[in-house]
Amino acid sequence: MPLIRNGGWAHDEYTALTDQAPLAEGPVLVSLTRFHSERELLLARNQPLGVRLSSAQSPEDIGPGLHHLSLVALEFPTFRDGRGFSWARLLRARLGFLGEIRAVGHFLIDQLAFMERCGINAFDGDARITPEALAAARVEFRNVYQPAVDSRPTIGRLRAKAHPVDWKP
Amino acid sequence: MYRYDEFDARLVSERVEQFARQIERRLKGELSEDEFKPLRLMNGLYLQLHAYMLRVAIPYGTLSSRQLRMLAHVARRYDKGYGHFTTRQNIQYHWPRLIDVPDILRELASVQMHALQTSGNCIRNVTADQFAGAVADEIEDPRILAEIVRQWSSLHPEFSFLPRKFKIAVSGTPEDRAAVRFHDIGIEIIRSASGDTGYRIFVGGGMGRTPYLGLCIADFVARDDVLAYLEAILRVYNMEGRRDNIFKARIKILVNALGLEEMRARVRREFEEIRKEGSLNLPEHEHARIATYFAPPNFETLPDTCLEFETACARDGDFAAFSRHNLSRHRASGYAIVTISLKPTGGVPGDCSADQMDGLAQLMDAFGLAEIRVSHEQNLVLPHVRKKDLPALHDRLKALGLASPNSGLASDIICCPGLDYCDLANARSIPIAQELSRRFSDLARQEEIGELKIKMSGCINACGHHHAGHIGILGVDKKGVEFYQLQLGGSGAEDAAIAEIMGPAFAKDEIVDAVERVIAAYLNLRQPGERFLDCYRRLGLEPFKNVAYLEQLHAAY
Amino acid sequence: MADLIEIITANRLRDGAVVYWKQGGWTVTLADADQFTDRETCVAALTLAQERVAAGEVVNPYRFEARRDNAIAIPVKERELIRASGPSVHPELGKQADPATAPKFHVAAPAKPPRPKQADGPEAFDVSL
Repeated sequence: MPLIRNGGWAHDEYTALTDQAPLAEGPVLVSLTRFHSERELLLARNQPLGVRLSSAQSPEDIGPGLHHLSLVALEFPTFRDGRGFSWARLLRARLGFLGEIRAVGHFLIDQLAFMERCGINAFDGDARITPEALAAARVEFRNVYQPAVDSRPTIGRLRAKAHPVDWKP
Repeated sequence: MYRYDEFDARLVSERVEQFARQIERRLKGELSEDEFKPLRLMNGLYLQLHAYMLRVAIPYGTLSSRQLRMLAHVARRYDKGYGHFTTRQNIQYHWPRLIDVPDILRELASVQMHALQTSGNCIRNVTADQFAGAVADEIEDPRILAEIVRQWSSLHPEFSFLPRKFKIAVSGTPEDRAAVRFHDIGIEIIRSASGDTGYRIFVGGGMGRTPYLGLCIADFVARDDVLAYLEAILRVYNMEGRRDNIFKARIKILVNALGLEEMRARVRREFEEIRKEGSLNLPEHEHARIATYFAPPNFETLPDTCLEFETACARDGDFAAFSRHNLSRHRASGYAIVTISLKPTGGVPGDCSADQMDGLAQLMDAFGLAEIRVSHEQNLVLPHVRKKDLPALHDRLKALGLASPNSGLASDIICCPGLDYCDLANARSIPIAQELSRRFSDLARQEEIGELKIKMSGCINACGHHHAGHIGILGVDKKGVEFYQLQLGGSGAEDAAIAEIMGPAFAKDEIVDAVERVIAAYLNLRQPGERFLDCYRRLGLEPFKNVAYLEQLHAAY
Repeated sequence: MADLIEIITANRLRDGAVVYWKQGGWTVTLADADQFTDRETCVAALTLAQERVAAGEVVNPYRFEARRDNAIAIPVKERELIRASGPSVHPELGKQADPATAPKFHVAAPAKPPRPKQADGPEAFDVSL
């Protein structure tokens, strides 16, 4: 599958495992169920490990093992299911997850900028999801109103800077 | 009123160009209709029975004369010469072409207007009291918070793909003209015992298939915490709201399933976390900056008794009637709030022609009126009129066909477009409203009946607020034929209540008679000074039900 | 006695106009639409019509029932009567306003006579079945 990571095409080194498949060599991506049932074994391999969450699963359900993961994949079963945006924010802002957050499934280029703002930094979507589309999505809006997990200054901040006289912190 | 700075203006323009590209991709086949639909809805564009429909936001219901002229221009150039004001402080154009929509939106953006998030599963246009800044007992102008919420909710990265639509309304007075308890979030601005201004938050109100009154989830949220608190509610909803069944996807269903206590606990937890992050704390200077835009005009010092006004009342019966019903008390002496009814006898409730819009804009300029408002009751409001200008203003309204003296009376009917336009509708609503308004056109009769809110929807989505009507009418479809359910006892005001369904639906040619019989029963049964709603509350459904089905009873025997 | 037929309809993508299937293409006039007398042919035509969605011609094609009265198709449901005509409250707008697109069924006698008090003004559209 084509993968975009940090803005460009990337090789996906993870083997996606079903719950029944034997453990493969190298980095693997498993369901939350498999992660919980084989937690010790998976962590002891000392290989990059990813957990795939359905859109109904909160990253808080991963539990204390989260910081041993290098990847959390968030499923978007349809682009209308917006739970992944909240899960990504929770991962970054609340749970302090620093690894890769990957959107997988069905989403639109019109959602990429929102996804990045919420902390998603890898995309595994359909053929329309390309680095060029991502680059274009990033500049569609120069400014944003809301703080999110990216470091973009909000319009409120920029206003305060542009009109320092009014700025009384 | 609020004026865009360079940041607001740029964002709206960028949004227009983004949507123009999305339309282009759709026309080229790069987006399927399934993918395009939510994107166009978030830009206010529906596909209705006869054509597309563009829903343009009138944020917190406030317009300048320049903006009103633009609405007239759009109606004339891109539509069929009229617009329809809705129950959520929007205007709808019923005939735009998809290929013209980018140009329409560019023209609107040139006067700081937009159609952002007027539909779709996102946070919708925030509504507020149409009397904001003009009434005496206001704690704070609700438009300040509404504008703050507008900015926070516009293109929100986390909450643009919610389980379902999300509506927020703000009221700044104990009297509720914004129907706050019928919104997903209703905000009442209050003052604490220690004198601080803050917000009482209701959650989970709504109409539709399963109507609920919002429940108080927070008694007092401090001013600088409000966005964090709203974000917390939205996050709980986005994470937990049902997505498996469109009819159970609104936050009201979640609140009801979890129970208020559990909902409150979950929101509280998110709120504490968000507050810890700190970035959503609303700085006092930002509140103050936005508040300056809504500062009231400099009112002249005028005596409250005004000779010109009194003389006109004595001389001109039409003016006297208009004054009795369409004026509300203003906070400044010598001023009045004028409600312009968009409910002429036999007219389409909420419709306004391009010529009328232009005429109103001229009138605003002639009388030095900076603002006109749109109410959820589908009327327009001039918030700050000098009493001495009223006779001349009334003359001009009359010439425009906008002087119906029926505000708050039986013919001031809220009504959705219904099956005459709407793809979702099951039955027509406008013809019923027209027939009702003709039946009750006699002003003396309406005055005898007194305050009466008739609200009518053409389907269970309840755009016409039938659940909140003293008398509510709901159009239903029985094998392709229109029928109408009668409901009584609802209220969208501070005494909010959900109307009770009376029984089997009436045929199209029976419903108006049934309403008339219900009203006749009220006139017989009421105590002196008792409103219809209070009479219903005292007596219940039974006496009204008995007369409403009279004809069917006779037919049965 | 009128026979029941089926008609295929959609809205045109670029302007939203109501269109009807006619010999492999679309017409804006109900009177010109193909009238299907058997379900199978209609479903086959609908499959063809649905291919026009991807081509960007129309949105949401579907079929609906009509009565055929002297070769004139009169939709059974209120919704399709209104789509074929325009808003009943604005006789001056929509297909009904233009003789070229106006439906031909307004002459059809309603099943029950309209009540006198509804006979004035825009109510004249009343096509109660």
